[in-house]
Amino acid sequence: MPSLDPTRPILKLDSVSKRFGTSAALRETSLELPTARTTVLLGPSGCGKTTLLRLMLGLLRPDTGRVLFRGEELTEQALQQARTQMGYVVQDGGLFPHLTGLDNVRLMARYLGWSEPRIRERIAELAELVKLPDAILARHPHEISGGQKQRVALMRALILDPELLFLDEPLGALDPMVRADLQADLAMIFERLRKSVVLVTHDLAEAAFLGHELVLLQGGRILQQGSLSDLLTRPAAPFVTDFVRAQRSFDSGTVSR
Amino acid sequence: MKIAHGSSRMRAAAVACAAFLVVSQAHAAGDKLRVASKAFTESVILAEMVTELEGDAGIPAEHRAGLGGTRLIWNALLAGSVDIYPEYSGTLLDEILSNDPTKAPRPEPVTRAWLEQTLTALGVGMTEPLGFNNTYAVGVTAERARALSLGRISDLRAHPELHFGFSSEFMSRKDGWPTLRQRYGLPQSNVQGLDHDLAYRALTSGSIDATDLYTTDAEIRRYALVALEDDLHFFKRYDAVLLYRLDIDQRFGSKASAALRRLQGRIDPQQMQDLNARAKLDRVAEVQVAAEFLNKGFGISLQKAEPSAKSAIWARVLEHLTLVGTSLLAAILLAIPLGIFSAKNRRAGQAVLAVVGMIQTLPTLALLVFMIPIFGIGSVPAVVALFLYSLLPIVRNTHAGLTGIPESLRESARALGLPSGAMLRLIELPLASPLILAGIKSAAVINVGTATLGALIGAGGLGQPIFTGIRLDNLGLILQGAIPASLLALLVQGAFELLERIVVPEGLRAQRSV
Repeated sequence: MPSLDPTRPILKLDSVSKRFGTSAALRETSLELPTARTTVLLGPSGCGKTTLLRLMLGLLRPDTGRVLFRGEELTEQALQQARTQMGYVVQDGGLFPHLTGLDNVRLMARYLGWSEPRIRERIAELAELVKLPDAILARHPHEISGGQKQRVALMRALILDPELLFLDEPLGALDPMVRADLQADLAMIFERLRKSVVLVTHDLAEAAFLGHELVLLQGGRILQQGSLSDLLTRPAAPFVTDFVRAQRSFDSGTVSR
Repeated sequence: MKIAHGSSRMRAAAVACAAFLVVSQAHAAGDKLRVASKAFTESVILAEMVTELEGDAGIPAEHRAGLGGTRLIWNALLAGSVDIYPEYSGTLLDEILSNDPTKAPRPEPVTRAWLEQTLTALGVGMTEPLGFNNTYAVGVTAERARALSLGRISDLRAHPELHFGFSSEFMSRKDGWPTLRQRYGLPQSNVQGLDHDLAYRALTSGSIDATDLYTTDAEIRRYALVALEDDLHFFKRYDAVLLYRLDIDQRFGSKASAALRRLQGRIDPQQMQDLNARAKLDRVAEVQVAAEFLNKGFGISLQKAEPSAKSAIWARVLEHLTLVGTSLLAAILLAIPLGIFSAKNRRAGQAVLAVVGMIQTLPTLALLVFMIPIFGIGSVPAVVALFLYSLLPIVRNTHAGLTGIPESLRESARALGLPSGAMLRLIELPLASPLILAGIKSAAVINVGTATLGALIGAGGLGQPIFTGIRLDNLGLILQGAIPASLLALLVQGAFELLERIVVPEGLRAQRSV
């Protein structure tokens, strides 16, 4: 694992903005992601959190401003290399249906020419980490449950041991029981890996449960960045309080960890 | 060459290209004299006689039977992929030479000298008439002719109550019913157009009294008809002649054209009618009919044995499979890259799809005829046509398969860091494979059907017995082509379903059945 300076941000956004047609998805935004911490992008639908994530991943190019990965601008050329240092889990897992779970997981390792023993070892490690039996890995995505899919997707994202892990509403499509299980496991996994993680959710409880740092967005702007207690005790705008209240009324039991 | 009269540079280039292909093709097949016939019994019998006579003169000759039309066979003669074929003087003057812009002013009436000069300029020679004039005639049943004492067309004037049924071609030709009626002053008003075969039946059942026919039609004997005398000489003469390329003597020695002249003046109308009836009514193979005639008239004995029906069918199946297989393989090799290109480049892709879609709308026969100047006749133009028709289903399905991949999967693949080539190979093409394979399957199945039309340009295949059967009104022969063709289509379908299990990834197969 490359040596990381925990005091330097792993990813930095410098006055980044993005428009789709006439509507601004993200307005002049600057943000630093701390190394080896979990940052949660939070906010209502359409607030710009997914756009922000996609800009970080290089799936979108910013209209203005720069995205810096480990201090270097994420240009088109730098992207291919940088992506092997980033893992990505999309909402429904994004697993390739023509491949078994195992083949999904080892796709990139094989493409990069890893030796079979090395791949096998890495997969055993990850399977244990995400608590997934081999029998499930041997199946195709349509033969396994939603929660299992997310675990496979997580393995796939981690196979190359990236420095940075992105998860876009990884629990969004799951039913409550599965969701609680996976939530607990994710917390444990993040704890053990000590990677830099960016998680997108619209659920405050989940954000508080999994994240060190919360970034609340609204209307393409960052309203507040800080811990849950910062949001609760020192709201930067009236919307912060409204957002917290709306979520608590549904989910008060799990807001605090 | 006919298409060389265009002025634009493009056309000149096309002609040069075509000439090259034709020349190279002529060299490749230069060891046999190629006799051809149009798709009707009389033409096939005559061409069969020519083939036998050339063989008797020691010249190896082959017969490509039943090519699909006058223009097609004439162009093939000019292009050098046919050396000899039977033609009719009327067709030559009115259809073939009617609008040739380079020719010297045409004398009226046409002189033999003008005709010879015109043909020589095109590299074509013509024999003297073979002895019969196969022209239009008005036919009535022998019974009706006796009852109303009809012998000449003029006699019809006295019977305005008669009901006429003419083939739709005769109804619309400039030398057909409208001018015939004027010339003879015919009073009949009860005239309808109908199919030629139906007309004979209508005639014998009495629902019509007269129809158009050809003077050597086998049906004259079959239905006991009388062809009324054309006493005002209204109908043009359709004297049967043989047209041949003037270079055959250089290529095969002077015996080549001498063999043709042996038929001059040797077949009278009654004989031709009998020969046609022998093939169409007695169901004797045209080869056999020609051989019998030559045996009687020239003392030539039949040289080749008819292959057994089984081996003949098998040979046709192999020809058919070769046509389909070659064209399909070539189409796959081009269409999948084209489909990928059109999926990756939205605007150019639409243009590609539009072009291959347009090719699909061309009528098959038109496409085949269009290719004669470029590829001659035989299997090459047929393969090219089938290849062109196969493009659309494969290009379209490849395009649909690739563009139909959910954005989330595409994004996942990009986020993994796969470069676009690897993404195509490892993710996109496997995901699109069920649709691509379905496209190839439908191209193959359509091809099996369309390939039967290849028989019309001498490509052989299962269309050969089908069209011969249609020509001879021989259901058995039609089925000899049609049954293997449908079996082949089913077989191809089944083969692709098997292939699907091998090619389509397991995860996609199971998913579709869920």
